[in-house]
Amino acid sequence: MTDSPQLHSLAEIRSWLRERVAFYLDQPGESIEPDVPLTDYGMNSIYGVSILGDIEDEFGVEFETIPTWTHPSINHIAKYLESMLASAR
Amino acid sequence: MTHNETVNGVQAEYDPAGNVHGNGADATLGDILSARACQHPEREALAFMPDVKSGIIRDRLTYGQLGQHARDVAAGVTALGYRAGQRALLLFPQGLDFAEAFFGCAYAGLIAVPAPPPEGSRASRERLAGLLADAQPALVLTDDATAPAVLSWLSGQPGATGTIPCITASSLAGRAVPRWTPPAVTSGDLALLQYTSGSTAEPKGVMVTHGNLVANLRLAHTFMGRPRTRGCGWLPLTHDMGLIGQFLITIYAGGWCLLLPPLEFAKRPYRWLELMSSYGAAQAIGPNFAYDLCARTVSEERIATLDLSRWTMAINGAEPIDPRTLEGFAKKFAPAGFRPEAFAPCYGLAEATLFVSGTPHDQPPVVTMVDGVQLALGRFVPVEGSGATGAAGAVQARALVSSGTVVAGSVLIVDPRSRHPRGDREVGEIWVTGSSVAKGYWGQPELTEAVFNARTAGGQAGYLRTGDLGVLDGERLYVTGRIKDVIIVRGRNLYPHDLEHAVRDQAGDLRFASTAVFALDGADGGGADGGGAYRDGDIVVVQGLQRSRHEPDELAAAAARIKHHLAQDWGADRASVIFVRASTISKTTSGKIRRVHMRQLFLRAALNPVYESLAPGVSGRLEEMK
Repeated sequence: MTDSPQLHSLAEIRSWLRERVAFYLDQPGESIEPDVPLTDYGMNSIYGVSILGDIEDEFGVEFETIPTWTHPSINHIAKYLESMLASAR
Repeated sequence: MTHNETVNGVQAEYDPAGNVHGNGADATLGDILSARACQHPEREALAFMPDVKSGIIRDRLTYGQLGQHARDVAAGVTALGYRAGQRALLLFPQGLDFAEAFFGCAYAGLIAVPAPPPEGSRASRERLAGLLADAQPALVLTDDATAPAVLSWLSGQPGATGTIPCITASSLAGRAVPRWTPPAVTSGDLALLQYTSGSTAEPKGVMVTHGNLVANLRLAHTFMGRPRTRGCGWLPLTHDMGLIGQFLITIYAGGWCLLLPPLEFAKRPYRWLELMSSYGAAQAIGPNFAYDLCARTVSEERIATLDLSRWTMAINGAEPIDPRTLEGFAKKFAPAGFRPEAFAPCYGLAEATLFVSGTPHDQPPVVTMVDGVQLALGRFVPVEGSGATGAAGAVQARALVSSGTVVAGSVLIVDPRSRHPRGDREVGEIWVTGSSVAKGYWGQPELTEAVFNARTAGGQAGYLRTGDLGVLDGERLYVTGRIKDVIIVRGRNLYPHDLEHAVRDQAGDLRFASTAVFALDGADGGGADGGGAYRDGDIVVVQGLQRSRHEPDELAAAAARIKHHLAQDWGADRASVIFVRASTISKTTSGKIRRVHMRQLFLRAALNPVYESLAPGVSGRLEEMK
């Protein structure tokens, strides 16, 4: 667990997210296309919240409420996270 | 041995462990809490940890404090003029304020209507509006932090502005009348309107009496072996399973429970188990998906730090129990000392307060392999070993997890159409009777009569129709599916989850997401008239695809494979196969497939197929239905 936000490149965030999503969906990371909404892969809302917990633990950020993404893709979340980390520094 | 004693006017009963129980069949919830508060006022009852990452318990309540605060709430609402029989809508986030308000209502004779506060999705706000209109509460109880959101929501409700006051529990503490006389509340009075997750348009509030709750708590506590419980749970207290199976059982047993917010569990499932471990919790309750989520996500490194050897009762209920989940969880957490016999599958529904059947604490869960062909014909015939079929055209053996045992005479298995009782090891609708069966649906006498006062063809009356199919093997209950989901093919009952599983085996090189299988001629609405319009016929397979681009040839070949196997292995030779994007498959928040909804989308031609291969005559039938 990280105590304070650190510098992460968009590419790093993206590849970490892709690996987590693949873990929850139980399929290889390379099968997850970064621009396809995660719901298209059958991602349910509970796994979605579990990933938020993973993000908090990995990047040392905190979601006060559940972000109101509609059909987010990997790229979507990665960009959101990048700006969140930037503003937290 | 037990002995009786009168504590402060409340008959109390002690068991060998020194626990105290509200006496007999006519106790109320207030009697039970009063007895506990009198007997061991300093004992901690509940603790609340709002942030599981911090590991800090923010709030604690002893039995004495819970009793006193609940009486403050009761005295306060009574002083404001509220009277027994009125409804109080309880809009609290997860936490101990809810516990005080709930028992405050019980003491004051108010009917508690628990619901999640108006935050979040539009669907949940609409559901709350429907509930408000149906329950017609005289007041809303909430906490200081939630009050602004409640007030703003109330002001947007037609007819509610200015007429339904929103009262915070903290404002009642100062109003406590020193010489407050509790109103006479009896076990036959309503304690709770438990709204079930029905459709938004037709909320159904189950009327639960004090007597129902006490009878059901006694049943659950007996299955548990009458321990002084030590629990740790995250189920919402607004939901019957969390309210009764987590919170009220603790008070009934004179035990202790660490409560967590539901969202915190979904964010960090491993923290639930870490807290179970560090607080030495012995009892926990959750739906199948919770155990599945833990088994899938908790890492080996974390498991190495856990001690789950003191966990004696892992209650699993509220949705179909998957034998693979029991096996997977037990195997994964064996290094932490989790014992497979701790799993306690159960069956229940809000209409029967909560529990109908349960696995006794000293018995392991029972998984039975049965002959799938016989099961489809309504007969429970155990087979040896894995029961693989071999013979051409035979349906594969199926593993059924028993939902535990029932109290003799409390469950009858009945043919849902003829209403003739079925024999031992014969499948039929589960009908329930006894002191846990609730009084009906609030304000819906006709529906209540149909669902809560069913009569067999032989004239046995007063049964609750559950809408679930099951079978009794002696006193052991197996639940096989929902009536409205069952697919009839030439007189055989096929269960959609079996067919969905079979379909997914045919993915080949394609990436299949979720599957929904239903009958074209479904029993619309299901539920009360479970007998419904069964007609033999077509089945529809809607298969989600994980990628958006596919070769039509590939999809056509997969559709052909699916049809072939459904016909050969399951005798379902009139299948239509429709491929859709994965997100088209509609599910509940806990991941259950909404088959009835999927069928409606299909009939309205609203599925947006990527590819479809309809059985002969189906497009004509769809035209007729329009």
